[in-house]
Amino acid sequence: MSEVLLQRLAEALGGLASRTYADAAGEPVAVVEPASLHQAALKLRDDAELACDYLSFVSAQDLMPRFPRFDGVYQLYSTSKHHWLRLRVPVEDGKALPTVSDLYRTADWHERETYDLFGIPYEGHPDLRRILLTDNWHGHPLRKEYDHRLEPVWPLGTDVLQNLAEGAMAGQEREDTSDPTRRIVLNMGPQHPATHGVLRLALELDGENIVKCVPHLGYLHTGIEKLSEVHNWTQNITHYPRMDYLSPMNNELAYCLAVEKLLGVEVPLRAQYVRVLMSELTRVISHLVWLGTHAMDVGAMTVFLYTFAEREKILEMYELIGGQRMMTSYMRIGGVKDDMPEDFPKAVRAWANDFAKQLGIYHGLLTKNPIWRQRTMGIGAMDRETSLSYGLSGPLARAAGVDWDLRRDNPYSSYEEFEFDIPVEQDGDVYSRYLVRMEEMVQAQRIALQALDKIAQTEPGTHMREDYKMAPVPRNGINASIEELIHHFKYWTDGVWVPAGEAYGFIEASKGELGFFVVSDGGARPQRVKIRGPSFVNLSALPEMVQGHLIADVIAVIGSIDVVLGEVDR
Amino acid sequence: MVGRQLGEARNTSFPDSGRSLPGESGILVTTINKVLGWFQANSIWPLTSGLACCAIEMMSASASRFDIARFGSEVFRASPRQSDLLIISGRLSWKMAPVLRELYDQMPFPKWVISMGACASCGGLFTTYAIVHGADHIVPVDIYIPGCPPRPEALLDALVKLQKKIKTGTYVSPTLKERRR
Repeated sequence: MSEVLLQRLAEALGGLASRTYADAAGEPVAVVEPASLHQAALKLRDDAELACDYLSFVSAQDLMPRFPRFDGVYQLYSTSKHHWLRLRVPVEDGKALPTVSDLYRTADWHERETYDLFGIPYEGHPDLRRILLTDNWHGHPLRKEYDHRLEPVWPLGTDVLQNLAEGAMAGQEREDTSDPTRRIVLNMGPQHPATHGVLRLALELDGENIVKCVPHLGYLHTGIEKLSEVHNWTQNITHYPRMDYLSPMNNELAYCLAVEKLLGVEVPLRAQYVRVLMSELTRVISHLVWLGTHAMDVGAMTVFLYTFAEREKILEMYELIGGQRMMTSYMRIGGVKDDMPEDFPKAVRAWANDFAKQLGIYHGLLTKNPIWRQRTMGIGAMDRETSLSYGLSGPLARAAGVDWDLRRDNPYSSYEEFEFDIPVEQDGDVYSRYLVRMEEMVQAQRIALQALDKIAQTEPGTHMREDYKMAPVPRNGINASIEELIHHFKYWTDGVWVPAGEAYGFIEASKGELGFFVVSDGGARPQRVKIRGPSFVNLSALPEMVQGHLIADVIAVIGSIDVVLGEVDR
Repeated sequence: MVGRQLGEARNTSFPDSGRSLPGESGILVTTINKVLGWFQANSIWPLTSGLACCAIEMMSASASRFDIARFGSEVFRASPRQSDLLIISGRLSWKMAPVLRELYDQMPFPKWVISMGACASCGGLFTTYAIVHGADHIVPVDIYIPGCPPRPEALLDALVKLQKKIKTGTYVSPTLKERRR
């Protein structure tokens, strides 16, 4: 499959690509010169066989001291043929890359992010400003010479305070300046109870209708990608649950899959099933927080109390299996940290038996509730083509009629052995997203029960690869032999040494396609980790969704996007 | 009650009608500080300001299972001008820091700050360029909670300790007292 695709890619690009090769997972990569990038992207999008209608992310890699110094990275996907392609574009320091934001609207924010963190300018970009850091920030953090501990230069952020009022559009032209009394600019956030964290929106209003919405991000920028280059492969697992903190185990899983692709290993079957079980439970807790907060924003307080009570049951299972309520770091390279406790299946079954009834309560509170329907139906609607162009994934894309789920179309972690349905709605509005997520919770419960049956058929204790180059030695092994003691010592001091190469690990997380693009130079630390967070991409469609709606609808739309700012800002 | 005059009923229950036993007179002697402390400690209104992961545990603390209402703090206010307590729940970035300071300045006196979790207290695991390594660089902090994220019980414990601090003017933990001896 991958060889055919590689050949097809070389044929389609012809002279545009200077080199094509397969990465660690066998996915095709083409190296393209900056001058022919735009043409190449257009060809890949319109080619009948490749049909890359979806741009996953745009990023870069600093390869200092190589000349040219940077590689622009473009990850493409076909939602009809279900294959991945990657473009690498070498570019010198200070030289610009052509923008592809006219082909894929996903590129808009991604190019701004790359400009912010690497300092690569994009020629022809409509609005090239910093996106995560403040406008007067010194330097570009993801360049290799930038010290990750460097504290910013004061005075910093005075512009943040100034911008909070009228100047909030930050260099943006107003639509209509003829009558200054007609349009006002309203600042919303970063401290606002309904923005789900520290999102800030500048809303230009005509009466109460929204003429223009400009999101401002970065109020929770943590520098996780930079920190990933500092810590070793195993230590990095700790950062990622704190990124999308509503679905911690999903993040760990995506990263581990990426690293395992680089290592070229398969994890034991039991570990795969446990991973499936935990990621489905994670999907449920994420959706429960979404449902509770979304309903509360729209005015239904009761739902919040019900869903948080239900969520506690799964958090108890988290404690049982991983020792912590949220940030368990349970998924490890090569498997999962500990075997499932004996009473764990009983706990899951007890929850699963009760869960259908709970869902019935939520449906009873909302689905036919006239206020809920009026607040959500026809609000924030987005059609199929626009949502693909914006790179929407997960429940948002499925609510707009895109029948695409990575669990089914590009199965990972033995998802191909499970039976489940994928809910698809056609309207693309807030209500459809609600229906899709509600059905996903039913399916998640179904998959969790299947996973329990499959786990029961596997040998207990086989939750981790017995390869001590990548997995820790069990406690009793350390006492038994000197070799294993050496392995233990090497593992915890040196970490895992990952062969040089690049890979893209992806999963269908609760919010959409969550991907980790990892590059190794053969050492104990990653050369580059790019996190493709679904929230970041989904949020970029917000201005389009709220256009012409009322301020109250903005709240409903933000809730339906299910945005987690930890993942948006990283 | 039928036929009785309104004035009669009031006269019989009037405190100074010849009896003067302590407690029955309806008068209690105390200091203004104690009474104010008692008022303030039992109705702390926190600001709804979530930053990161800890905000989710803060929400859990206010929801059904942990029920922060038992300690009189269920009234989360969205406006800083109506709240007494700022819970810094999560990592604080340099970009957010001026905004947080602005929020703190907008809160009316008396006001208190809880720094929730490792990131807010010292930057935690994120030793990066983007994060303020300790929210006490930006605002004065009364109580620090360890944990990543702290359990909701830990937040409730911090709240109880804050109440003690407010009631007595100062709170020193028992272990610290022993060490001082």
